[in-house]
Amino acid sequence: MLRLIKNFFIVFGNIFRKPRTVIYPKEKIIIPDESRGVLHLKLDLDSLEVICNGCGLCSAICPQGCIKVKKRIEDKGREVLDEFCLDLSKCIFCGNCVEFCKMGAIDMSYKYQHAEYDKKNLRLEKIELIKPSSTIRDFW
Amino acid sequence: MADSIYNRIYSSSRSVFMEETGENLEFILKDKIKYIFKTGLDLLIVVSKDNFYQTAKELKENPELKVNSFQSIAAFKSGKKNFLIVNLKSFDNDFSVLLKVEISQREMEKDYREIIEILEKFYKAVKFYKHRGKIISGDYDIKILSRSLEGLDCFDLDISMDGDVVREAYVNIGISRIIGDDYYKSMELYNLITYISRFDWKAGIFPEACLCGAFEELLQLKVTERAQYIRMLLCELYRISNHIYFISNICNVLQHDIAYNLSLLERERVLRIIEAITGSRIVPNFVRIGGVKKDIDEEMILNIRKNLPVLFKNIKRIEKIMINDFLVVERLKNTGTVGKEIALEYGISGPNLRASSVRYDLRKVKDSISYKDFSFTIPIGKTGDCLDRISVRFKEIFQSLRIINQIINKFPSGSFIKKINLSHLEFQSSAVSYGIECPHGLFKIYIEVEKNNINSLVVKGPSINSLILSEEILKGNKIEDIDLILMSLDISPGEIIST
Amino acid sequence: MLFILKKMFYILALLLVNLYVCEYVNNKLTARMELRRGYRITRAKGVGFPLVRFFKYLSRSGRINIWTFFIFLLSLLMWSAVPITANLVLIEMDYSLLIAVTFYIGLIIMLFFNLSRTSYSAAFSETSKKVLILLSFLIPALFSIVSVVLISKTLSLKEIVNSQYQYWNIILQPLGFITFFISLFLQFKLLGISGKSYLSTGINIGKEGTGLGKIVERFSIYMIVFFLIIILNILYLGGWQGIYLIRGEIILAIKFYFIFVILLLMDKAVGRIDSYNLLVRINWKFLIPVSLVNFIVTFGFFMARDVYNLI
Repeated sequence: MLRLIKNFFIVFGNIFRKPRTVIYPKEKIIIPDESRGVLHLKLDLDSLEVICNGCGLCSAICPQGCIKVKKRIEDKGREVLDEFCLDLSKCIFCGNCVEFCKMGAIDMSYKYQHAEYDKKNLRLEKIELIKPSSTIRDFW
Repeated sequence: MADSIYNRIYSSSRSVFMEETGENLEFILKDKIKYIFKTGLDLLIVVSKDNFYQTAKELKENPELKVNSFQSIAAFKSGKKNFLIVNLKSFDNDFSVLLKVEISQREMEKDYREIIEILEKFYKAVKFYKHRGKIISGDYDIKILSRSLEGLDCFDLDISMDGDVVREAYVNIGISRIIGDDYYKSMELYNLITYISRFDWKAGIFPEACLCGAFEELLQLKVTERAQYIRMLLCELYRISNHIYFISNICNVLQHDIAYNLSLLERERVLRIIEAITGSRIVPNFVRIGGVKKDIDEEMILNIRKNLPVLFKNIKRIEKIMINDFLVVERLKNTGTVGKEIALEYGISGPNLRASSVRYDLRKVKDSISYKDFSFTIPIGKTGDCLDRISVRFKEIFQSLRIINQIINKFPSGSFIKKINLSHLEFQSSAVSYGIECPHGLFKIYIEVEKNNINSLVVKGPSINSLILSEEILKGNKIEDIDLILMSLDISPGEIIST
Repeated sequence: MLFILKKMFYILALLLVNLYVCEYVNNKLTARMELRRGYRITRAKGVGFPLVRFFKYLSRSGRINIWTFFIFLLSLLMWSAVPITANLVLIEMDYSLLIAVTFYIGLIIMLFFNLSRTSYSAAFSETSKKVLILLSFLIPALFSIVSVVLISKTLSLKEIVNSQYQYWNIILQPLGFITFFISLFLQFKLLGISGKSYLSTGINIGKEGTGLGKIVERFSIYMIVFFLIIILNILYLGGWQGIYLIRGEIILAIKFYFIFVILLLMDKAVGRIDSYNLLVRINWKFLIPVSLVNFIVTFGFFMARDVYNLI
């Protein structure tokens, strides 16, 4: 019986406490540093080119097979990334591609908003994956 | 008596004991079996179908063996042959047996049915695996669909009523997808590790740790101390998260809103720590063969140390609010009582078993990770009703906090992974069974390997045993208590998929 | 004739406004008690929430019983005899308390039948259990009502209020007030204002209606709660009697909302009570003995004062 009276006062006090829920678009909670989001292709800071050389290891080890990589060979015999396509509708964000990449060219960004009207928009091309806006620390 | 205590404390002597029991079994079952050998946790006995009845009878009725508990049954394919594997356990003598039977390709159904009929003479729980289509579709009064039970969306429940009291209940897991053995066949090992945590979405680290542990046992690989400590830290964090989620579910059923909200807030706090370490909340993908994926830095440890007293204080408060409320106690006491005998017979494990006053914990019995460095106790209940199941889990949370505190205080230095090249692995043809104490019970994996591919992989979660038990204990209860009893058994839907 | 129509319009408007406010307060306060924010899609802190909920229920199709019609009728008829304030009453008579209580008991029985959604034979098989639940809050409430009647010596609600001009009945009848309030709280809990309704027990557990039937049910549930709070006010807390210069109507509104909020708070503080064993035990071990003791004491007092002229 004493517990019930205590509960009554806890409930009464809750009315004046700050609510724990957040209103999503206005308020946001900080997500931790290592959280896994959409892929991001790193840029070399000196030459502003993609570090990735298109070896295709990530597409080989991907458990869902959602990465497609194409490379081309330039005049001097240097291998350069030509196409990099990520199918977000399949990706499970396991992070294996980041772990296996020998060049350290892939990163996991903080991007979280995956909802789209059209399924075609979920296929991200190379240009969209390079965009710095998706890698700046976002919140959810 | 003295022997059993001695064997529980020193694991090295236990392995000697296992070999002794193996020799004893070989002596007793000489004519009936093909061969017997030790595979990790269990003794594997290969039997032909004709001798199966005599073997099962000997195991059950021999007073020296006393194999009284039925654990699981699973079918798998190895090469071109079909096998059936039956897991039996003796709690008195503390050893478990895997019976491997070959069944012919042509008359698979018939052979399966024969073996089930033989087992049914000795163990009650086997009747769940019989073909029960007629019973389920015919005679019942109420059908509770899976979506109406929150958090238990893996089975339908058919109930026949006697006024207001449940006369008989049938669990129908037909709606949950059943993953065959073939699913793993074509998969690479690193992909298997990423997928396996889907088996248990309430505590995802345990399947990974179990699988990696099994392969380490196969390779005879010794993991570095730091990696072991990181694994244990994550295991205990996930255990706390799972138990708090369980308590919040119970509060939701009881409509006890104060404790419900507080426990969800604490779960959020634990999940934040987990996310900061692994990068994900539900599916960690963190354990690797030979270590872990990433190291933990000083800052993280400081963060955990800061959060521990807060967690302890808040969970203590939740316990006070729940257990001191006489309305809650009134409701939970003497509902869904599981006696010691029934619990052992149906082979449930984990906190559910401990609530029925059986002191059995794999963390103490077989030291899968290095749990023997720490001091902690195993809480047990008295009668095995819903209240005991909840209070045991509360006590386990406090023990987990105690373990985490000890882990942080003596965190060893060193490397966190032994890098091995997975692509050039080559095994001898052998089999291993490995288990780990996950928050629902005993999570087990049985693997057969040959050269560089996995021949077969059988995953056995603990929830299926609790589900079979629920058929038995729902009888005689009121219809209002059904969801409470089912929730108090802590069934993880992911594990039901792979039976 | 026009006079009565005008009064009817006033009563209906008052009830509807009250319903709207109570639904809004209920939603907002229960959310705040759970550390949530409540409904926020409509602007101005979710003032339009009751309307949204009304249209949401209306948009679903559901079948309607014959009982729903009776329920709707009775929940309106109930207000014919109850004086909300001194002038706001449709029919003035001497037996208003008796008629109001009979309407109220009829309404609750109707709700029981409506909520058993399987065949009527199944409903009758459960009757014994439901009668027990019914008794668990009706008998103590009736006992305490009778002892108030014995004190004030009338069956007219208006007279009962007028007899409290010196001090309220709560001072004379503290035990009666407590039992009445607890039985009111149990009804509040069982009817499920801020959650699921647990009136439908046994086979029908968890089956709640949709569509128009649901709206009528919820309306009648609110009507029962309003009715009980107003009866509590009239019997124990002095009804519409003014204090000093403040008008009686304002005092009544303050008391009404105070009791409603207290009930909401208690509803959150106490967990779900749906096991009828517990309900019956609370009833037979606490409510009925206390109310019976109260009744016997008042009866003895009444006999000594009025029949034998001892005091």
